[in-house]
Amino acid sequence: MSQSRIEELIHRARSGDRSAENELMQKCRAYVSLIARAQIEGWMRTKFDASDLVQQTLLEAHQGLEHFKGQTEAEWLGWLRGILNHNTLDFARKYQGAAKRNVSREFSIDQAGGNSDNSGQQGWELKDETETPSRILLNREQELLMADAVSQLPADYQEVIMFRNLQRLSFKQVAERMNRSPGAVQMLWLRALNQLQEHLESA
Amino acid sequence: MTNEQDSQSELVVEVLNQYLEYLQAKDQESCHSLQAVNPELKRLMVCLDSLERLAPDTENSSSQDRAPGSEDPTLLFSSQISGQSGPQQNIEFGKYELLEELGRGGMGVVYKARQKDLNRIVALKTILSHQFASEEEVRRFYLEAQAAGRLQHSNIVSIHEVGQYLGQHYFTMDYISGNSLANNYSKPLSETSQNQFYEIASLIQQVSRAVHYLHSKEIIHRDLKPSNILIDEKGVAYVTDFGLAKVFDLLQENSASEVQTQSGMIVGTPSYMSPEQAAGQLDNISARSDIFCLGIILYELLTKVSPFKQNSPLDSLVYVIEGEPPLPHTLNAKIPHHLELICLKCLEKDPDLRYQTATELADDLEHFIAGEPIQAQPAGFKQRFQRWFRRQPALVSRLSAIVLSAGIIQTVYSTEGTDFNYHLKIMTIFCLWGILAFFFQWALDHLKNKGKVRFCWAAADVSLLTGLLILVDSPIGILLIGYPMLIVSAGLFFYVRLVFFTTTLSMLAFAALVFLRPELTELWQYPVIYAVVLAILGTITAYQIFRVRVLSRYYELRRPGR
Repeated sequence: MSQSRIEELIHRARSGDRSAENELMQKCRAYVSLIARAQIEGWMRTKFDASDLVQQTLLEAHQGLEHFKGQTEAEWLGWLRGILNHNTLDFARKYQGAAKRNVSREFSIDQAGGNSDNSGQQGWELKDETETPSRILLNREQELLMADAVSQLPADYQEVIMFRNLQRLSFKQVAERMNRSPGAVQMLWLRALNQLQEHLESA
Repeated sequence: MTNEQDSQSELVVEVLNQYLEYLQAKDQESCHSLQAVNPELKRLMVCLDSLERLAPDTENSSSQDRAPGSEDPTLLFSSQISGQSGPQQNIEFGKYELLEELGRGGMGVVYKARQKDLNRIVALKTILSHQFASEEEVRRFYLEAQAAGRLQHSNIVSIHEVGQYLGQHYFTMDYISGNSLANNYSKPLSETSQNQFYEIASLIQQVSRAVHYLHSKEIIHRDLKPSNILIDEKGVAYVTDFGLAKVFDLLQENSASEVQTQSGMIVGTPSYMSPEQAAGQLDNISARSDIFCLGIILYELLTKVSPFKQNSPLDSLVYVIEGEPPLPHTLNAKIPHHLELICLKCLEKDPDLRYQTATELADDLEHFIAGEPIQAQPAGFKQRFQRWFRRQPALVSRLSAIVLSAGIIQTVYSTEGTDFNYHLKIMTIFCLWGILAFFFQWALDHLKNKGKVRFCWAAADVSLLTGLLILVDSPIGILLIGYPMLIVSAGLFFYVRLVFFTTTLSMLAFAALVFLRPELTELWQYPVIYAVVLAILGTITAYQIFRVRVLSRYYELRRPGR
């Protein structure tokens, strides 16, 4: 039901309906924000306010909307993720400074760095293609719902899900980050999962 | 009360965490089996699935690849190594340089690595997420390395070094450029020439020689399976992964507590276990257990079907212990008869009937390759009957009951000469019953929906029995034993629902019988008692199946690695 809703919004936004576009971006905000935080907090190992990154990503999505060729929700989310990916890369590069890193490894430098519409579009399309096929085949209808559900959890529930599931830390590491015992963290995780499941079921 | 709840939640967390780990290692097979044995957690697992889809994908070149100052070696390596696109710097790992990830097993990641001081290529195996490895896991890891380090054989992957770098345990071994038997063998088998069978025989022969060498060093591999056998480009086979090797001398030297932890677990991969291993008869595990595993591998290479693989680990275990796979030539008519005999001799349930040493097996394979007579003989009548019974227990048990009963009735008829028409009716029902049994067995083997076939079969049994009981002479009291028998034998399939189905049907049939045979109601309370007992019997049988299922789940949780 919500899947077709998203596709309808995509369709309307494409044909120039500004309110539909706003609604679409609004619906994707929690999703983009969650993934951005997971990526950046994952390697910075500290809390990070990803709202700038989310803003930037949604803005670029808005500017580049005419270049988005897909129809389905899965394609749309993949595209968003592509834009987000190059923004996080950009961010990572600034954060580290230019030093130390081997430039040749960062093969996406033109793609991610360019700001003009053309190279930007190319970058996103390339990124879109790097999505592994298995990922595209997986049904993505749950992803938005899930991101929403996570964003509605109490703060400590969100934190444990962020660490254990999205950043793939072990419980021992999660316990260290959260200053709690591993046992307590595990119980917290279980409660968070139960609540998530209830959210999704009632959605 | 609260204690109980706590331990309940702990168990749930343990299962879910295990599931998440499989998920993150992209081990879908294990995920499915864990889901299958924990149906009540399915929703939460689905939740984990969709959370995992949200997590940044390490396979795509995400920003993690370029993470500055990441201190977690496991994380760093796994994400950096797996990003394979574009030129990349290799990861330093002590005196090694990790070149690429070769695979992931139950407890470790295997990398192709370069040893810098000697400038040679080796395979380096680490423990996955070292922070989480228990003492037991670390101990098993070193045991594996120690056991393997003392071995030198041309068909065995040699171990070079065991060590620790940044808290991460690892060992290095020969790098074999090639594939494991698990993903290699689709290629040669697709050719249909007779040659492939000689190739297979030669492969297993090499492996048998290596296994014999292990045995001569008092090591039983205990986890022989296709993924533990590597084939290099020249077609030479190598045995690897002694993770489960039971080293006799080590066991004797070490403290009693350690022996306990070692022997208390069922270890191994259910569909590649010997019956004595699957049954947990640890004292009976011997060199001949490895012979059985070699038989499984040979069977799989010949037929492309894993002989004991079932949907759930429990079903695999039960099948290894008491089931019998189809004869290889029924799956591929081209399989040479002698090779099939060799394979079946390895797969004997009774260790005494198998090859007694791996050398005997290797020799017999050599005889086969050379076209000489082999040691393995076609099965005798008794063995054939046993195998048939194991392969089609439902059919054989029914046929035996039918033939025996019909035989007794025939004897009585011949000696006492009862009414011919009456005799004919009874015998017709028996014949019909026998024919139906064959039909249902055929359906069980060939139709997809085996569950429905079993239900139909149970229904047919109950109806035929009832028909028979309606027809036969009074008094029929004793013959009512037929219903309990049907209920109990329905339990053999391990489906609670089938048992309840049979029980309900039996009670209905019995009710009909009571109406048709007034003699049963002479004392009205007797049939009531009988019906109640039937219900209780069905419940007990179902409960026992339930218990076995619980044990199976427990086992699935305790199963170390894969």
